[in-house]
Amino acid sequence: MKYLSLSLILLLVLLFIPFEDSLRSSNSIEIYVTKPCVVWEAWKIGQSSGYGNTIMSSFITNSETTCGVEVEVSYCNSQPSSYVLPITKYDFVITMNNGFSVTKKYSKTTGPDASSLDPATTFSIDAKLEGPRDQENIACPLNGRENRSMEVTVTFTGYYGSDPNNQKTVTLTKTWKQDTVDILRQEYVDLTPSGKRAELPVPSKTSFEQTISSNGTDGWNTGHYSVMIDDGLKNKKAKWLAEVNKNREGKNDSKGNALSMFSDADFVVTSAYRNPYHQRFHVGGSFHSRHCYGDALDVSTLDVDGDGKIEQVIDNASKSDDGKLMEQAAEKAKAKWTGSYKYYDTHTHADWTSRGSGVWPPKDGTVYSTPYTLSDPSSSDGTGTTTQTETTEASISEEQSTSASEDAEDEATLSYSLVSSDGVYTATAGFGHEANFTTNEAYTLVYWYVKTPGDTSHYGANVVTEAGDGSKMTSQLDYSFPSGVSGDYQFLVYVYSSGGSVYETSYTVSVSLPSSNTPPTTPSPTPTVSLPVWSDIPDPYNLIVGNSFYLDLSSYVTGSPTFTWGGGYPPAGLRFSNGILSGTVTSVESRGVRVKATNSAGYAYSEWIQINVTAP
Amino acid sequence: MTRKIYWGVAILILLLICVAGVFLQLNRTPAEPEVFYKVPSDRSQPQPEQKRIPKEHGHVHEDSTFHVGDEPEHVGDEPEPIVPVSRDYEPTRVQIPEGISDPKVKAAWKRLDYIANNIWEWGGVPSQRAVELIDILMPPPDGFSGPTAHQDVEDTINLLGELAWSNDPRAAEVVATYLCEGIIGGNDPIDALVSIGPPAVPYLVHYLLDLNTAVPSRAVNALGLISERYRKDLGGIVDYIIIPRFEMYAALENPSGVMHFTKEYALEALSRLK
Repeated sequence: MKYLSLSLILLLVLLFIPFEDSLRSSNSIEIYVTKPCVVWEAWKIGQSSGYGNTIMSSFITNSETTCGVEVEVSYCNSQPSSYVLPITKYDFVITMNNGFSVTKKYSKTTGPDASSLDPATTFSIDAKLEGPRDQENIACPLNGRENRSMEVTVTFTGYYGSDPNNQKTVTLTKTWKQDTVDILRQEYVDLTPSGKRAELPVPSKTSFEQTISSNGTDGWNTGHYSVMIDDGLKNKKAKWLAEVNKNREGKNDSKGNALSMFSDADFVVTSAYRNPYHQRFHVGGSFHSRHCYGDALDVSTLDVDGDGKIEQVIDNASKSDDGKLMEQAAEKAKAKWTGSYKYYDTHTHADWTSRGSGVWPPKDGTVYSTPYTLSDPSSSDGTGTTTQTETTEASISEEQSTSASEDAEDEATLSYSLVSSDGVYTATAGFGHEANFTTNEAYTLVYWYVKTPGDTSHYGANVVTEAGDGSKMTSQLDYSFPSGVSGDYQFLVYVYSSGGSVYETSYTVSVSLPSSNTPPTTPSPTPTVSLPVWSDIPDPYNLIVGNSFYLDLSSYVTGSPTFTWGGGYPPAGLRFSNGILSGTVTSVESRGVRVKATNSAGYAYSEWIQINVTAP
Repeated sequence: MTRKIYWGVAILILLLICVAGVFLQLNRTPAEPEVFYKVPSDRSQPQPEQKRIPKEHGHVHEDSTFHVGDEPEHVGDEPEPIVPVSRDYEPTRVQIPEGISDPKVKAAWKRLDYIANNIWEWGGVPSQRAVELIDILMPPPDGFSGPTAHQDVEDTINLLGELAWSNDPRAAEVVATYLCEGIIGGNDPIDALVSIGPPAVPYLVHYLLDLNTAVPSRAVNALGLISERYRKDLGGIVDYIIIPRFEMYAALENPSGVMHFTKEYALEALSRLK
């Protein structure tokens, strides 16, 4: 009996061990706490169109420097038990690589009261992330953002439990990561325009497919990805080759031997698809190239004369016009545009895109990847049942005020001014003028324009182009008003800032002729003026980062013309003004530039001046 | 008595075990909930994407394109003053061959001269952008060479393409020059010339008759298509200027190089025109 009593006591002790915690808080309902069930309800990242519960894991950013994130979490359709506690507060944490950070976000609860655990209740976040501009001119195998996949991770944390000092959490985490196609599509987004030219349209995701298998000589994809756009390229090549062979049929070479037909391998595709970075910075090709859209071919023929070089010789005889023959064969094969080269007969270019639809080339200034703008939900007049709106500032900048309005904050981050250095906005013809531009954010490029009286163009002439060095925040323009011309002169700067902003500002100077008490001058007979004539400029100029550079272009052209920018853009750190290209180069790159010399007889462009900058 | 106590203790133990079991069941943490619960189908539909109007550094046009810079201010409802674009151009000089006695041939040449001096008669809209493009593209380069040749070819194609389809007949001179002097080629610029119609003919006839034309096949191709479409407008030009020249090209024996294609286009055109 004694043993039985002891056994019972021991059994009771053992049975109560699991209830230890409950006994300690036996007066609290916490003993019944059960985690609420939540699910991802909807999501949207960047330009991806899958908003909702679609299987979507990849994305591209809205613009080169902005990305939008919108996600919703809701309660499950039913909860695991009747003892579930509702979420009393929650938080979203958003992270992104490649230097992007959250700059603005709004979270809100929509639908029935969160305490009711109703599945129609949603917890959502709308956020804007901003990042740096992509690096250009990087090593050949590393394209765009060094081929790095961009990632966005969103973590939802819901807090539940009645004791505010001891709340438990439920979390959901989701990561979106760029796949190969979107890494490549990101290049189209990142390659933002220089000057006024348009951005590149971003091809749809379904445009891309695996690289065409080569016959051993064709280079269908000369970029750096395993995928490409193929707009029927093999068929185009086959038709082009057939036309070339028609031209050879029944003909003899210069030695009287019958010409044989070219095989598919003899007719070499030297380049077809190119990803945008490869096209622009490694090939040095056109910014708006059909090679980036898979309907252009560069083709060469085999080495028919046995000199070890691929060449354009389709009849084994007439080397002088072989480029033209190749072009005409392409035209017979329905090519829309063709071009070949003088003294550069390595290939013939053809593309199959009509410019008649107005779609191509894109109009100046067109932006396809529009910056993401986060609209303030409190200003919305929607009919939703928002019960809570919470505005959270980013931690990216400690200087940001948490109470300031979002728009005001955006505007406050950038300021600039363009003023006359002497504060005077009138001048006399024949005298000089100095304009000063100042900004609080370093610029990458500044284009100076002067619009003279009677000039009907929007901006006038680009008289100076200055590339920043990563820290420059001022730029000056010295300008001489021509004698004998009065009227309003507009001075305008068009600026690309290192932070991704593009803006312009201007002012006007009213120029009058010298007063009538100036002694009259006897008009001299007008001399006969000839067009400026350029002589050879001894390029390429091979520089090392940190080298100073000075090139006075007036030494290479006849007469005393006025100089304006004629194309391309200078390596970082150089400035072009009054016919002088000078400065200290600051980054590794190769640039081609040219200059326009104008006098009363007309104008002439210089040759393209090649400037190569290498690392020390 | 002892037996009753045993039964009582046993019942108590069983009750305790039951209470403990229920308690443990309630206190158990459920597995990750999203695994078990389906989302209501009516809320899983994609929500319409709101059109976002970018506010920063640009403005959106009605065609949905975004442009850098501020949108021009519109003051009230007053329309902006429209500055008419000049229609000025320098007509190409039609050199009527000497010694023509046939009045029909003479009339054809006079018709060609009339067209050259009245290019706006067939429509078109004067375009400031076209004037700018003509200024950029003329005079044409002497071929493409040098380190930027690769870029220049496609940039030139884009500029020429924009001009060719600008609906300004002054584009015809530039397009015909680039084609026939062998700077740029393709079917699209030829289609553009056909679209411009008779105003392109004086420029093309010049290259048709010049024995030094680099790529006469393009003049033949374009003139063949224009003649077919605008034969009535062109009057005797087709019968007395164009067709005789086409017949000369069609009669070439074993032409090589560019003349191979010139003969082909001439034969094709003659089969449609005669």
